Amino acid sequence: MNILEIKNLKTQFHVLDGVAHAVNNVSLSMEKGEVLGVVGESGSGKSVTALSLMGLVRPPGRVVSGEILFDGTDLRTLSEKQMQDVRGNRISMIFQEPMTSLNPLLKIRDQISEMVMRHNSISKKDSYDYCVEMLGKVQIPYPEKRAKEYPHQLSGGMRQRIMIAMALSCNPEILIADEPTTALDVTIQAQVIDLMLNLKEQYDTGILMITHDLGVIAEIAQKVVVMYAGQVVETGTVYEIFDNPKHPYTKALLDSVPKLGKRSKAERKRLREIKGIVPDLFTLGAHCNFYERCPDADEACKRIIPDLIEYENGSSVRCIKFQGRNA
Amino acid sequence: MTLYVVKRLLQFIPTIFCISLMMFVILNVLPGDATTMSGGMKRQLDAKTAENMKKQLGLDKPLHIRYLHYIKGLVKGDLGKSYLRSESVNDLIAQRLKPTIQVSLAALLIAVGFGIPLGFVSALKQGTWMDTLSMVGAVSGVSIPQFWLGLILMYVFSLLLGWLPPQGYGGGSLVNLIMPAFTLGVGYMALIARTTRAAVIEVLSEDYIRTARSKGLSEWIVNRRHVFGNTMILILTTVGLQFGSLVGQTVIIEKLFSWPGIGSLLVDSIFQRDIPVTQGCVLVIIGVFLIVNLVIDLMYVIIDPRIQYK
Ligand SMILES: Nc1ncnc2c1ncn2[C@@H]1O[C@H](COP(=O)(O)OP(=O)(O)OP(=O)(O)O)[C@@H](O)[C@H]1O
Ligand code: SF4
Ligand SMILES: [Mg+2]
Repeated sequence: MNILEIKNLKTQFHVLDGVAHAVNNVSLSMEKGEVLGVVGESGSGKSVTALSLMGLVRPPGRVVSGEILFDGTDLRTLSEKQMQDVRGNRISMIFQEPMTSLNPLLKIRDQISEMVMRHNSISKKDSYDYCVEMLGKVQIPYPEKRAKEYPHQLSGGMRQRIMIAMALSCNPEILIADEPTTALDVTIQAQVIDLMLNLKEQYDTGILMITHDLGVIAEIAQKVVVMYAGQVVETGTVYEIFDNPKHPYTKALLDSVPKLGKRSKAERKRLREIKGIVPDLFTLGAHCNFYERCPDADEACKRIIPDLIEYENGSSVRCIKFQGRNA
Repeated sequence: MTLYVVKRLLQFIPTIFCISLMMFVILNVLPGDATTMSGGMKRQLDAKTAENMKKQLGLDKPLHIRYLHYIKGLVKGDLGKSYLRSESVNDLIAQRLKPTIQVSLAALLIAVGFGIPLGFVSALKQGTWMDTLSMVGAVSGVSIPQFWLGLILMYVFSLLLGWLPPQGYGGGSLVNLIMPAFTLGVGYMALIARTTRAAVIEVLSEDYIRTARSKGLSEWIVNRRHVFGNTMILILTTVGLQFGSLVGQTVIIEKLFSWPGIGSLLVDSIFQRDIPVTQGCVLVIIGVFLIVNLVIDLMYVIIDPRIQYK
């Protein structure tokens, strides 16, 4: 059963320059306990999709339409009060910016315990003990001591682990991890990923893993959603996406990742960013969003906005050139 | 911490010294002295009397000798003798300090008590009529000249309505305090309201506020536990520095409301060229300014764990 199903979600930002279509008709689904990877270039709407799901889009942004079915209920129909009961408790989120995501004025244990106490009937003292236990679980050394410290006394990696401990402290059904490792250095990155996987096994939490890093996706995700300019352009299992990408954008994305054993000079030349820039979200044309950068584009692509076609249960592509699984 | 406070207090000494020197020179080279000026008017004394008066006050001695004499007293905490009054400057200031502190603290209370909530409401209801109303109020509050505001209040509440006494200390009774404190505090309150509004808006856009919301906390709890403290850190400096200059502004208010504080003493002494009194008043006002600054720095230590003084 799908624990999460997002249907035709649209989120826009009304700013001075006009309306930015940050999330433009996004649909995706996630099974219980599954790791769903979301990839895409900077600005493709990954974070905004996550914030929409949490009900945390603030003005000038607004979720305009769509459904967010979580365990059968549409979160968009809930009142703010009901949504608060979901946030942190059943769906929680780790943010992209570990250095600034903790309140500088409160001790670590107070920042975790306020969440635990919000969703469980537990005394302050017990919540402190629980906080120490959680810090131990995310492998923070001397958890008793660290719990009493302030964010500025901890490194970026430790703060991110604290965010993870916090996000898992109420046993959520879905954990949204928005680039949980991007701000960290490489060795710490691997540790944090391992840690999340371990905890996932332990708690059977579904993870929505947002990242630029295809390596991370390959390592932990079962399914992948590829986003481009506020839209989903391809979905599929991790094997399908990596071994047999269908959409030209997905192919280009995979091409831009170095492969072991292909480090010759010629290969290195091919290893490049995808040419061109992400289209302006204010003035999306009446044609395929990837048209300007697509190596396979032709006249037909200029006249049509391709639909996301599901060619197999759970796998879909948004490209008019794609004719079916074996085409 | 104690060490830090002691260090800061010791730093006051060179500051006070420099200011006293500067002031001494400026006041003594200005044309006119106690023998030629009184109450802002030219004084007509015959040459003989003037000469005697100068001798008596020590004004016949050269400037550096006079300064050395003054500084000797200052080290002992003696601010000298008034040229025109029988009391010592220390006694004069001791009598006048309490009313000034009263009216300043009352103004602070009004400004903080109304300014901070106003700023908060305005920021949280950003773009609504409440926001517009309070900010229009704040801009007018900052722009109204105190003297004019004082006169209007006096006219309305004393002359027309007869609710409040127009002037005087009234032995320190509350009804006498209301108008001067309000007049003094209004601009300050407006400034605090605007600063608070900007600070709250800044804090609301911080990542940790989004984190707080993601925990499922209600807006009220988010504001109380996460927005408030961080806002205070942003406005503390403004609140403090302005309080310092507010003590300076008592000069106008005290004169207007015949409030027997340091400010009105200062004005009188300037008009009478009563230099020791002028110097004493200014030094006391500066001292208050320095102490307020120190208190603010200490308050940072209390609310912000990132700041530590050793
Ligand atoms: N607060 C905001 N105000 C205005 N526009 C916004 C705001 N937040 C997001 N957007 C718009 O939404 C678009 C998508 O942003 P989003 O943060 O979702 O990108 P992302 O895929 O998470 O990128 P990154 O990988 O850099 O985190 C941005 O390009 C921007 O135009
Ligand atoms: S529709 Fe055309 S332009 Fe768009 S991705 Fe497919 S081939 Fe490229
Ligand atoms: Mg992002």
